[in-house]
Amino acid sequence: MRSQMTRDTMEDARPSADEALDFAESVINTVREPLISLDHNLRVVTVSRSFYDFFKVRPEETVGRLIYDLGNKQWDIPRLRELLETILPQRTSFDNYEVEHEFADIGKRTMLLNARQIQQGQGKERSILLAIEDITERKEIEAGLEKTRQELAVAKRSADEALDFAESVINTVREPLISLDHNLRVVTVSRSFYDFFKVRPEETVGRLIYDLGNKQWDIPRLRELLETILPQRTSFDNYEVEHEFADIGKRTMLLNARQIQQGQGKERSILLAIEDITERKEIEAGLDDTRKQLEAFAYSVSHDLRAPLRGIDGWSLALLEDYGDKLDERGRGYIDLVRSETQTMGRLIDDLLAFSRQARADMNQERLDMTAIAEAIVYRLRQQSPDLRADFIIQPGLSALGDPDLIEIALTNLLENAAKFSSRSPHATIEFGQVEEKGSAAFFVRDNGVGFDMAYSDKLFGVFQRLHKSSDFPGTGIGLASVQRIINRHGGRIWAEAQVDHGATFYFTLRQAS
Amino acid sequence: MKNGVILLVEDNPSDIGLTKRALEQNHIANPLVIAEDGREALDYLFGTGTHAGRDVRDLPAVMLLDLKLPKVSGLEVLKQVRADERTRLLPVVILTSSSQDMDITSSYGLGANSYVRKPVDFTEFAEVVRAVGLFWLITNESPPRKR
Repeated sequence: MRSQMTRDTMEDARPSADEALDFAESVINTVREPLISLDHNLRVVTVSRSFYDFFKVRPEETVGRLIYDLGNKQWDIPRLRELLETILPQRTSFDNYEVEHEFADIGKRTMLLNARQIQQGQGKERSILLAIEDITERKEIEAGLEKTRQELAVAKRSADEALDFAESVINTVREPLISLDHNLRVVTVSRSFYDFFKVRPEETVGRLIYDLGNKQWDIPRLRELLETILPQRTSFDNYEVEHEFADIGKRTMLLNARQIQQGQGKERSILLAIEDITERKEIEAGLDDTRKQLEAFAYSVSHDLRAPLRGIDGWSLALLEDYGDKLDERGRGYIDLVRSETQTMGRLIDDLLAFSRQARADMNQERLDMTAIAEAIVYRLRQQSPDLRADFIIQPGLSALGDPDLIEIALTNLLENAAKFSSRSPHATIEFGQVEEKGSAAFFVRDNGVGFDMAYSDKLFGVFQRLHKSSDFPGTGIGLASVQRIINRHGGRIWAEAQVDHGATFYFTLRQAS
Repeated sequence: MKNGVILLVEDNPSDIGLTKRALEQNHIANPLVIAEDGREALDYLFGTGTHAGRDVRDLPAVMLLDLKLPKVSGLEVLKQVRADERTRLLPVVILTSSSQDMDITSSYGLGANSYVRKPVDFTEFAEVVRAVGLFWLITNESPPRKR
């Protein structure tokens, strides 16, 4: 634009050549754009002040020089050579010829060159006027703008994608979902919502939530959530609502609610996820009944099954005491057998009861001093069986997270087993400690007793499963089942390694106390 | 040896027989009164029903009370005994097959003096009867008779 004006101005100033030249000089020195004029040999004739300022060159090293030699040959630019030597000889003017160049003093610049061939008189050689516009900053701004525009496009695309994704999520999840605006009017509804509550889109979207399905949704607990709880917090989970719907009957629902702000300054909207837990509640109630029945059963077992056993034991002893002289050795042996079977059955009942109690007992998770628990158990074992000869090696400083009562039952079982199955070893040694097993710390109870055949290891933890004859080692076959149940209830694992006549090691994991 | 009555509240004839046998073997010769359900126990203590006219000031030295009883449960008997001024101080020993925490807690909660689980092994059972008898009939000082 500016160079255009310059030319017009120069043409208008035709009357006197000197005047015109002076005028041209002042124009050249006034415009902000660097201007330079070259003779037909491309040597510098006139230079605008702005050219010197901009390219940081001095008049004495500029005028009369070949343009390519300016500023230590910095101006030897292929694109400029192309303009001056190839394009201009064919046309008298060229606008907006873009040249990008790295200058030593002023750095990388992008310039727009407007070039004019001027014939300053008949027969005279042509000269060239070059107007140089520095568009470096403009380019940068433009590039920045372009980048911003692209980013915006990406952002919009991802917003669109996110929206599409959200829509598909809403329509995919089994749980009915509904979104409301700040006036509690329905904005989006998932397909599952329509299916579940048997409403149609045309009677749902845009309506007040309480008005849905003939005002069936006007539920006091829901009003409380939306109007009282949510204004104070941005989210609320597992809010239970029970309601009798006309079409689908009485339902118990768990509501998860989120407040969403979809942009700065916009009104908040609410997303409601509805989980129908009616069946789950019914099953839970059923389970609770079953549990109570089981407890009643356990009570009867403990009370009623034990009473006759005491009778059998008591009266067979009475027989022995009162009529023992009328029986021979064998007869008295039979009575001993009756009594020992009775004892076994009594223990079975006790163990079964304990086993069922362990499944139901409430669990407390607390820090346990495993070393102290093991030491107390060993002390008790020695009290109970004075003929216990085993050496116990208990690793100091062991701790874990668990229920003190249940873990003590489990550890007692393991240590008792170890003592029992090593009772025939000449130097019975029982160890309790902790090792690194498969990347996590595992407790272990190791003995050097009779061990067992690993081929039967899958039966080890089953109820009533025994790997040894009762005549060798008595037991009810419930102990290890109990231990496994307890460890599993703690989220831990239990396994064993053994070899016949070379002892057994039982490993179990528990959460570590922090 | 003080000759206070032992009131055995027990519905199982075998257990009654075994208790008698254990008492005899341990030479506890105190008179034994047997009530075979909760109602009968209350009638004896309060002089009602089949025991109408009994002087209720004659408190037993100890009541051995089973929990699972016909008609009126052991816990209900205990509750009524503790609620009545005349029997409030009667020593009550729960003697039962149950070792449920709930039963133990309820028994002590209602004011049982002790709780003993009947072992299956008769030898142990006899020992329990001996220990209970020794303590409540000899070692323990009974509450004074009301006038």
